[in-house]
Amino acid sequence: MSQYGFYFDKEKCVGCRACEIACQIWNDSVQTVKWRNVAMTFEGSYPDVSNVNVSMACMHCGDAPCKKACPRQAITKDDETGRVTVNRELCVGCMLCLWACPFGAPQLGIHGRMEKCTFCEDRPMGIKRACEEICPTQAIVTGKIEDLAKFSKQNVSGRLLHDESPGVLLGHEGN
Amino acid sequence: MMDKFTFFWCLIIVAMTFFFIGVYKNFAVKIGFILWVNNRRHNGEGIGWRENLALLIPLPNRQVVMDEALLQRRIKNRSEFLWLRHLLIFSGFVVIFALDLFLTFAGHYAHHYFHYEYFLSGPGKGLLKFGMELSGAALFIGLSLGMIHRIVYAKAEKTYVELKLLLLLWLVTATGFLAEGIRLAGQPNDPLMLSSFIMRPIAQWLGTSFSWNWPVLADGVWCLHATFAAAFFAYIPFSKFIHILSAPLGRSITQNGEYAYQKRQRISEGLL
Repeated sequence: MSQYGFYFDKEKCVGCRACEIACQIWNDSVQTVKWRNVAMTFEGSYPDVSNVNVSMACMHCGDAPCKKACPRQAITKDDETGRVTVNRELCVGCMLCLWACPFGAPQLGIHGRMEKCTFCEDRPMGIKRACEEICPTQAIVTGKIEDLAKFSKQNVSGRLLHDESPGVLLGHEGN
Repeated sequence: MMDKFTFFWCLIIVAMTFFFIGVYKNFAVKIGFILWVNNRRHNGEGIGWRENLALLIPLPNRQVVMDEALLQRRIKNRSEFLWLRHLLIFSGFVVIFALDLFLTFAGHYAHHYFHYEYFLSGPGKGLLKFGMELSGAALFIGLSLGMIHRIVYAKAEKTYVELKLLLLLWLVTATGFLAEGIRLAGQPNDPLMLSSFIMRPIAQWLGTSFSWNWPVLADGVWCLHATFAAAFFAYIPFSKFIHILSAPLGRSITQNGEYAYQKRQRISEGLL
Protein backbone atom coordinates (compact mmCIF):
# COMPACT_ATOMS: atom_id res chain seq x y z
CA MET A 1 0.00 0.00 0.00
CA SER A 2 1.18 3.51 -0.79
CA GLN A 3 0.17 6.34 1.48
CA TYR A 4 -0.36 9.58 -0.35
CA GLY A 5 -0.71 12.87 1.52
CA PHE A 6 -0.34 16.62 1.58
CA TYR A 7 2.67 18.70 2.51
CA PHE A 8 1.91 22.32 3.38
CA ASP A 9 4.50 25.03 3.82
CA LYS A 10 3.13 28.03 5.72
CA GLU A 11 6.20 30.08 4.88
CA LYS A 12 5.22 29.97 1.23
CA CYS A 13 1.47 30.44 1.55
CA VAL A 14 0.28 33.95 0.73
CA GLY A 15 -3.38 33.31 1.63
CA CYS A 16 -4.73 33.87 -1.90
CA ARG A 17 -7.31 31.07 -1.44
CA ALA A 18 -6.74 29.85 -4.99
CA CYS A 19 -6.56 26.31 -3.56
CA GLU A 20 -10.09 26.67 -2.15
CA ILE A 21 -11.40 27.81 -5.53
CA ALA A 22 -9.55 25.11 -7.51
CA CYS A 23 -10.91 22.47 -5.14
CA GLN A 24 -14.46 23.72 -5.57
CA ILE A 25 -14.18 23.94 -9.35
CA TRP A 26 -12.63 20.51 -9.80
CA ASN A 27 -15.06 18.78 -7.46
CA ASP A 28 -18.08 20.86 -8.42
CA SER A 29 -20.34 17.89 -9.16
CA VAL A 30 -19.99 16.36 -5.69
CA GLN A 31 -19.03 19.27 -3.47
CA THR A 32 -21.64 21.40 -1.70
CA VAL A 33 -19.40 22.94 0.99
CA LYS A 34 -15.74 23.96 1.04
CA TRP A 35 -13.46 20.95 1.46
CA ARG A 36 -10.31 23.06 1.70
CA ASN A 37 -10.15 26.06 3.98
CA VAL A 38 -7.47 28.67 4.47
CA ALA A 39 -7.26 29.72 8.12
CA MET A 40 -5.74 33.18 8.57
CA THR A 41 -4.46 34.27 11.95
CA PHE A 42 -3.05 37.64 12.86
CA GLU A 43 -1.21 38.60 16.02
CA GLY A 44 -0.05 41.94 17.40
CA SER A 45 -0.81 45.45 16.25
CA TYR A 46 0.78 47.73 13.71
CA PRO A 47 3.68 47.93 13.16
CA ASP A 48 4.51 44.66 14.97
CA VAL A 49 2.10 42.38 13.20
CA SER A 50 2.71 38.75 12.39
CA ASN A 51 0.35 36.53 10.48
CA VAL A 52 0.06 33.01 9.23
CA ASN A 53 -2.08 31.41 6.53
CA VAL A 54 -2.75 27.71 6.75
CA SER A 55 -4.49 25.86 3.94
CA MET A 56 -6.15 22.78 5.35
CA ALA A 57 -8.21 19.92 4.02
CA CYS A 58 -8.43 16.27 4.97
CA MET A 59 -4.88 15.00 5.52
CA HIS A 60 -5.87 11.38 4.76
CA CYS A 61 -4.33 10.23 8.06
CA GLY A 62 -2.58 6.87 8.20
CA ASP A 63 -4.67 5.82 11.17
CA ALA A 64 -7.71 7.95 10.44
CA PRO A 65 -9.65 8.81 13.63
CA CYS A 66 -12.73 9.81 11.60
CA LYS A 67 -12.92 6.26 10.25
CA LYS A 68 -12.90 4.81 13.74
CA ALA A 69 -15.43 7.35 15.01
CA CYS A 70 -18.06 6.72 12.34
CA PRO A 71 -21.04 4.79 13.75
CA ARG A 72 -22.03 3.61 10.27
CA GLN A 73 -18.61 2.56 8.97
CA ALA A 74 -19.23 5.07 6.16
CA ILE A 75 -15.60 6.24 6.09
CA THR A 76 -13.12 4.01 4.36
CA LYS A 77 -9.41 4.12 3.59
CA ASP A 78 -8.31 3.08 0.16
CA ASP A 79 -5.77 0.26 0.26
CA GLU A 80 -3.82 1.43 -2.78
CA THR A 81 -3.55 5.16 -2.20
CA GLY A 82 -4.41 5.64 1.47
CA ARG A 83 -7.07 8.21 0.62
CA VAL A 84 -9.89 8.49 3.14
CA THR A 85 -13.38 8.90 1.67
CA VAL A 86 -16.99 9.07 2.84
CA ASN A 87 -19.65 6.77 1.44
CA ARG A 88 -22.69 9.04 1.34
CA GLU A 89 -25.10 6.10 1.09
CA LEU A 90 -24.05 4.96 4.54
CA CYS A 91 -23.39 8.36 6.16
CA VAL A 92 -26.11 9.81 8.42
CA GLY A 93 -24.49 13.22 8.85
CA CYS A 94 -24.03 12.93 12.60
CA MET A 95 -20.70 14.84 12.54
CA LEU A 96 -18.94 12.49 14.97
CA CYS A 97 -16.10 12.32 12.41
CA LEU A 98 -15.64 16.06 12.70
CA TRP A 99 -15.50 15.77 16.48
CA ALA A 100 -12.69 13.20 16.10
CA CYS A 101 -10.76 14.88 13.26
CA PRO A 102 -7.70 16.85 14.40
CA PHE A 103 -7.94 19.17 11.38
CA GLY A 104 -11.68 19.88 11.41
CA ALA A 105 -11.81 18.52 7.86
CA PRO A 106 -15.18 16.77 7.42
CA GLN A 107 -17.97 19.23 6.67
CA LEU A 108 -21.72 18.76 6.68
CA GLY A 109 -22.97 19.22 3.11
CA ILE A 110 -26.29 20.76 2.18
CA HIS A 111 -27.77 17.30 1.67
CA GLY A 112 -27.11 16.45 5.31
CA ARG A 113 -24.19 14.10 4.59
CA MET A 114 -20.55 14.57 5.49
CA GLU A 115 -18.21 15.73 2.77
CA LYS A 116 -14.45 15.99 2.70
CA CYS A 117 -11.47 16.06 0.40
CA THR A 118 -11.31 12.94 -1.77
CA PHE A 119 -7.73 13.65 -2.84
CA CYS A 120 -9.26 14.40 -6.27
CA GLU A 121 -10.14 10.73 -6.68
CA ASP A 122 -11.09 11.19 -10.31
CA ARG A 123 -7.55 12.39 -11.14
CA PRO A 124 -4.88 9.82 -11.95
CA MET A 125 -2.36 9.57 -9.13
CA GLY A 126 0.56 10.58 -11.35
CA ILE A 127 -0.62 14.16 -11.77
CA LYS A 128 -0.96 17.03 -9.33
CA ARG A 129 -4.13 17.50 -7.24
CA ALA A 130 -6.28 20.55 -8.09
CA CYS A 131 -5.12 22.58 -5.07
CA GLU A 132 -1.47 21.77 -5.69
CA GLU A 133 -1.72 22.56 -9.37
CA ILE A 134 -3.19 26.01 -8.81
CA CYS A 135 -1.00 27.11 -5.90
CA PRO A 136 1.14 29.99 -7.22
CA THR A 137 3.81 29.56 -4.54
CA GLN A 138 3.97 25.75 -4.39
CA ALA A 139 2.98 25.85 -0.73
CA ILE A 140 0.95 22.67 -1.22
CA VAL A 141 2.74 19.59 -2.43
CA THR A 142 1.20 16.15 -2.75
CA GLY A 143 2.76 12.77 -3.24
CA LYS A 144 3.79 9.57 -1.56
CA ILE A 145 4.35 10.20 2.10
CA GLU A 146 7.92 8.85 2.08
CA ASP A 147 8.81 11.33 -0.66
CA LEU A 148 7.03 14.15 1.17
CA ALA A 149 8.85 13.29 4.40
CA LYS A 150 12.23 13.55 2.61
CA PHE A 151 11.14 16.78 0.95
CA SER A 152 9.99 18.15 4.30
CA LYS A 153 13.26 17.24 6.04
CA GLN A 154 15.30 18.92 3.33
CA ASN A 155 13.20 22.08 3.54
CA VAL A 156 13.20 22.16 7.34
CA SER A 157 16.93 21.55 7.64
CA GLY A 158 17.58 24.22 5.03
CA ARG A 159 15.53 26.69 7.02
CA LEU A 160 17.02 25.76 10.37
CA LEU A 161 20.46 26.51 8.92
CA HIS A 162 19.23 30.04 8.40
CA ASP A 163 17.56 30.11 11.84
CA GLU A 164 14.04 30.25 10.43
CA SER A 165 10.85 28.58 11.62
CA PRO A 166 10.24 25.32 9.72
CA GLY A 167 6.44 25.87 9.70
CA VAL A 168 5.27 22.83 7.79
CA LEU A 169 2.25 20.63 8.25
CA LEU A 170 2.49 16.96 7.36
CA GLY A 171 -0.62 15.34 8.72
CA HIS A 172 -0.36 11.76 7.66
CA GLU A 173 1.06 9.73 10.52
CA GLY A 174 -1.39 8.67 13.18
CA ASN A 175 -3.36 11.73 14.11
CA MET B 1 -50.40 -21.46 25.54
CA MET B 2 -48.05 -18.55 26.18
CA ASP B 3 -49.72 -15.39 27.45
CA LYS B 4 -49.31 -12.49 25.01
CA PHE B 5 -47.49 -10.35 27.56
CA THR B 6 -45.04 -13.17 28.26
CA PHE B 7 -44.44 -13.37 24.52
CA PHE B 8 -44.01 -9.58 24.47
CA TRP B 9 -41.42 -9.55 27.26
CA CYS B 10 -39.48 -12.43 25.69
CA LEU B 11 -39.35 -10.41 22.47
CA ILE B 12 -38.35 -7.25 24.31
CA ILE B 13 -35.50 -9.02 26.10
CA VAL B 14 -34.12 -10.39 22.82
CA ALA B 15 -34.61 -7.06 21.01
CA MET B 16 -33.06 -5.02 23.81
CA THR B 17 -30.07 -7.37 23.92
CA PHE B 18 -29.41 -6.71 20.23
CA PHE B 19 -30.18 -3.02 20.73
CA PHE B 20 -27.67 -2.60 23.55
CA ILE B 21 -25.00 -4.64 21.73
CA GLY B 22 -25.47 -2.34 18.73
CA VAL B 23 -25.48 0.81 20.85
CA TYR B 24 -22.30 -0.33 22.58
CA LYS B 25 -20.53 -1.30 19.35
CA ASN B 26 -21.68 1.51 17.08
CA PHE B 27 -22.17 4.37 19.50
CA ALA B 28 -20.64 4.05 22.98
CA VAL B 29 -17.31 2.71 21.70
CA LYS B 30 -17.19 5.50 19.10
CA ILE B 31 -17.85 8.22 21.67
CA GLY B 32 -15.26 6.66 23.98
CA PHE B 33 -12.73 6.65 21.15
CA ILE B 34 -13.41 10.30 20.27
CA LEU B 35 -12.97 11.39 23.89
CA TRP B 36 -9.80 9.33 24.19
CA VAL B 37 -8.25 10.61 20.96
CA ASN B 38 -9.09 14.25 21.73
CA ASN B 39 -7.79 13.87 25.28
CA ARG B 40 -4.54 12.34 24.03
CA ARG B 41 -4.13 15.20 21.58
CA HIS B 42 -4.54 17.92 24.20
CA ASN B 43 -2.75 16.22 27.08
CA GLY B 44 0.71 17.30 26.03
CA GLU B 45 -0.22 20.95 25.72
CA GLY B 46 0.25 21.79 29.39
CA ILE B 47 -3.24 23.23 29.77
CA GLY B 48 -5.47 22.88 32.83
CA TRP B 49 -8.18 20.25 33.16
CA ARG B 50 -10.95 22.82 32.67
CA GLU B 51 -9.56 23.93 29.31
CA ASN B 52 -8.90 20.32 28.37
CA LEU B 53 -12.47 19.36 29.19
CA ALA B 54 -13.80 22.29 27.17
CA LEU B 55 -11.74 21.14 24.18
CA LEU B 56 -12.73 17.54 24.73
CA ILE B 57 -16.44 18.17 25.06
CA PRO B 58 -17.41 21.62 23.82
CA LEU B 59 -20.68 22.87 25.28
CA PRO B 60 -23.61 21.89 23.08
CA ASN B 61 -25.05 24.96 21.45
CA ARG B 62 -28.71 25.44 22.40
CA GLN B 63 -29.54 27.21 19.15
CA VAL B 64 -28.08 24.31 17.16
CA VAL B 65 -30.12 21.80 19.17
CA MET B 66 -33.25 23.85 18.50
CA ASP B 67 -32.55 24.32 14.78
CA GLU B 68 -31.18 20.87 13.99
CA ALA B 69 -33.08 18.50 16.28
CA LEU B 70 -36.40 20.18 16.94
CA LEU B 71 -37.09 22.46 13.97
CA GLN B 72 -34.80 20.68 11.51
CA ARG B 73 -34.20 23.86 9.54
CA ARG B 74 -31.41 22.31 7.49
CA ILE B 75 -33.87 19.93 5.84
CA LYS B 76 -36.35 22.77 5.35
CA ASN B 77 -33.70 24.71 3.47
CA ARG B 78 -33.40 21.79 1.07
CA SER B 79 -37.07 21.15 0.49
CA GLU B 80 -40.28 21.83 2.39
CA PHE B 81 -41.65 18.45 1.35
CA LEU B 82 -38.65 16.60 2.79
CA TRP B 83 -38.89 18.73 5.94
CA LEU B 84 -42.58 17.91 6.40
CA ARG B 85 -41.92 14.22 5.82
CA HIS B 86 -39.04 14.12 8.27
CA LEU B 87 -40.85 16.20 10.87
CA LEU B 88 -43.93 13.93 10.70
CA ILE B 89 -41.76 10.85 11.19
CA PHE B 90 -39.64 12.45 13.93
CA SER B 91 -42.51 13.94 15.95
CA GLY B 92 -44.77 10.92 15.42
CA PHE B 93 -42.07 8.47 16.47
CA VAL B 94 -40.93 10.41 19.53
CA VAL B 95 -44.45 11.09 20.83
CA ILE B 96 -45.87 7.61 20.23
CA PHE B 97 -42.79 6.01 21.77
CA ALA B 98 -43.05 8.16 24.90
CA LEU B 99 -46.82 7.67 25.26
CA ASP B 100 -46.61 3.94 24.60
CA LEU B 101 -43.89 3.54 27.18
CA PHE B 102 -45.95 5.50 29.70
CA LEU B 103 -49.15 3.58 28.92
CA THR B 104 -47.37 0.22 29.23
CA PHE B 105 -45.96 1.00 32.65
CA ALA B 106 -48.86 3.03 34.02
CA GLY B 107 -51.56 0.79 32.57
CA HIS B 108 -50.05 -2.62 33.18
CA TYR B 109 -47.43 -2.49 35.91
CA ALA B 110 -47.28 0.60 38.12
CA HIS B 111 -50.84 0.15 39.41
CA HIS B 112 -49.66 -2.89 41.37
CA TYR B 113 -47.60 -0.55 43.51
CA PHE B 114 -49.55 2.73 43.44
CA HIS B 115 -53.25 3.34 43.69
CA TYR B 116 -54.79 5.32 40.81
CA GLU B 117 -57.58 4.96 38.30
CA TYR B 118 -56.82 7.89 36.01
CA PHE B 119 -54.57 5.98 33.60
CA LEU B 120 -56.27 2.59 34.02
CA SER B 121 -59.82 3.28 32.94
CA GLY B 122 -60.27 7.00 33.54
CA PRO B 123 -59.88 9.96 31.19
CA GLY B 124 -56.08 9.71 31.40
CA LYS B 125 -56.11 6.51 29.40
CA GLY B 126 -58.42 8.09 26.84
CA LEU B 127 -56.05 11.03 26.48
CA LEU B 128 -53.06 8.74 26.06
CA LYS B 129 -54.92 6.71 23.44
CA PHE B 130 -55.92 9.89 21.61
CA GLY B 131 -52.30 11.09 21.64
CA MET B 132 -51.05 7.74 20.37
CA GLU B 133 -53.61 7.69 17.59
CA LEU B 134 -52.66 11.23 16.54
CA SER B 135 -48.89 10.64 16.67
CA GLY B 136 -49.33 7.25 15.00
CA ALA B 137 -51.22 8.96 12.18
CA ALA B 138 -48.43 11.55 11.79
CA LEU B 139 -45.86 8.75 11.71
CA PHE B 140 -47.88 6.71 9.23
CA ILE B 141 -48.39 9.65 6.86
CA GLY B 142 -44.71 10.61 7.08
CA LEU B 143 -43.56 7.06 6.42
CA SER B 144 -46.00 6.58 3.54
CA LEU B 145 -44.82 9.84 1.95
CA GLY B 146 -41.22 8.74 2.48
CA MET B 147 -41.77 5.35 0.87
CA ILE B 148 -43.60 6.78 -2.13
CA HIS B 149 -40.89 9.42 -2.61
CA ARG B 150 -38.16 6.81 -2.18
CA ILE B 151 -39.73 4.52 -4.78
CA VAL B 152 -40.54 7.29 -7.31
CA TYR B 153 -37.14 8.98 -7.03
CA ALA B 154 -35.24 5.74 -6.38
CA LYS B 155 -31.94 6.83 -7.93
CA ALA B 156 -31.58 10.11 -6.03
CA GLU B 157 -33.19 8.98 -2.79
CA LYS B 158 -31.16 5.77 -2.51
CA THR B 159 -28.35 7.83 -1.01
CA TYR B 160 -30.51 9.25 1.74
CA VAL B 161 -33.26 6.77 2.57
CA GLU B 162 -32.88 3.14 3.63
CA LEU B 163 -35.95 1.48 2.16
CA LYS B 164 -35.97 -1.66 4.33
CA LEU B 165 -35.78 0.42 7.49
CA LEU B 166 -38.64 2.62 6.30
CA LEU B 167 -40.67 -0.44 5.38
CA LEU B 168 -40.06 -2.03 8.79
CA LEU B 169 -41.24 1.07 10.67
CA TRP B 170 -44.20 1.37 8.31
CA LEU B 171 -45.17 -2.23 9.12
CA VAL B 172 -44.87 -1.48 12.85
CA THR B 173 -47.21 1.50 12.48
CA ALA B 174 -49.66 -0.21 10.12
CA THR B 175 -49.98 -3.32 12.29
CA GLY B 176 -50.40 -1.06 15.34
CA PHE B 177 -53.41 0.60 13.76
CA LEU B 178 -54.71 -2.74 12.54
CA ALA B 179 -54.40 -4.28 16.01
CA GLU B 180 -56.34 -1.40 17.55
CA GLY B 181 -59.05 -1.58 14.86
CA ILE B 182 -59.51 -5.33 15.27
CA ARG B 183 -59.53 -5.03 19.06
CA LEU B 184 -62.27 -2.40 18.86
CA ALA B 185 -64.25 -4.49 16.35
CA GLY B 186 -64.55 -7.13 19.08
CA GLN B 187 -65.35 -4.57 21.80
CA PRO B 188 -68.03 -2.30 20.31
CA ASN B 189 -68.94 -0.98 23.79
CA ASP B 190 -65.42 0.07 24.76
CA PRO B 191 -65.87 3.25 26.86
CA LEU B 192 -62.71 4.72 25.32
CA MET B 193 -63.92 4.12 21.76
CA LEU B 194 -64.07 7.87 21.10
CA SER B 195 -60.35 8.27 21.72
CA SER B 196 -59.57 6.05 18.74
CA PHE B 197 -60.83 8.62 16.30
CA ILE B 198 -59.15 7.05 13.26
CA MET B 199 -59.78 3.36 13.83
CA ARG B 200 -63.30 3.73 15.35
CA PRO B 201 -65.21 3.99 12.02
CA ILE B 202 -63.10 1.18 10.53
CA ALA B 203 -63.70 -0.98 13.62
CA GLN B 204 -67.45 -0.34 13.44
CA TRP B 205 -67.49 -1.26 9.78
CA LEU B 206 -65.46 -4.43 10.43
CA GLY B 207 -67.68 -5.40 13.39
CA THR B 208 -70.91 -5.05 11.44
CA SER B 209 -69.64 -6.54 8.17
CA PHE B 210 -67.83 -9.66 9.37
CA SER B 211 -68.44 -12.08 12.19
CA TRP B 212 -64.93 -13.31 12.86
CA ASN B 213 -63.46 -14.27 16.22
CA TRP B 214 -62.21 -10.74 16.89
CA PRO B 215 -60.44 -11.29 20.27
CA VAL B 216 -58.31 -14.13 18.87
CA LEU B 217 -57.59 -12.18 15.69
CA ALA B 218 -56.74 -9.07 17.76
CA ASP B 219 -54.24 -11.04 19.84
CA GLY B 220 -52.64 -12.46 16.67
CA VAL B 221 -52.26 -9.05 15.01
CA TRP B 222 -51.01 -7.54 18.28
CA CYS B 223 -48.31 -10.25 18.47
CA LEU B 224 -47.36 -9.46 14.86
CA HIS B 225 -47.18 -5.77 15.77
CA ALA B 226 -45.02 -6.53 18.81
CA THR B 227 -42.70 -8.71 16.69
CA PHE B 228 -42.21 -5.97 14.08
CA ALA B 229 -41.68 -3.37 16.82
CA ALA B 230 -39.08 -5.55 18.56
CA ALA B 231 -37.31 -6.25 15.26
CA PHE B 232 -37.24 -2.52 14.56
CA PHE B 233 -35.70 -1.71 17.94
CA ALA B 234 -33.10 -4.42 17.53
CA TYR B 235 -32.22 -3.00 14.10
CA ILE B 236 -31.95 0.69 15.16
CA PRO B 237 -28.24 0.78 16.10
CA PHE B 238 -27.25 -1.19 13.01
CA SER B 239 -29.18 1.03 10.61
CA LYS B 240 -29.39 4.66 9.55
CA PHE B 241 -31.76 5.17 12.46
CA ILE B 242 -28.71 5.36 14.70
CA HIS B 243 -28.75 9.03 13.77
CA ILE B 244 -31.42 9.52 16.46
CA LEU B 245 -28.62 8.95 18.97
CA SER B 246 -25.52 10.18 17.17
CA ALA B 247 -26.75 13.20 15.20
CA PRO B 248 -28.18 15.32 18.06
CA LEU B 249 -25.00 14.68 20.04
CA GLY B 250 -22.52 15.16 17.20
CA ARG B 251 -24.21 18.17 15.67
CA SER B 252 -24.68 20.00 18.96
CA ILE B 253 -21.15 19.24 20.14
CA THR B 254 -19.58 20.31 16.86
CA GLN B 255 -21.89 23.33 16.88
CA ASN B 256 -22.96 22.88 13.32
CA GLY B 257 -19.41 23.16 11.94
CA GLU B 258 -18.18 25.95 14.23
CA TYR B 259 -16.01 23.36 15.97
CA ALA B 260 -14.16 22.73 12.67
CA TYR B 261 -13.34 26.42 12.40
CA GLN B 262 -12.04 26.43 15.99
CA LYS B 263 -9.81 23.43 15.28
CA ARG B 264 -8.34 25.04 12.17
CA GLN B 265 -7.74 28.26 14.06
CA ARG B 266 -5.93 26.39 16.83
CA ILE B 267 -3.63 24.79 14.27
CA SER B 268 -2.90 28.09 12.58
CA GLU B 269 -2.30 29.77 15.97
CA GLY B 270 0.10 26.95 16.77
CA LEU B 271 2.06 27.72 13.63
CA LEU B 272 2.08 31.47 14.26
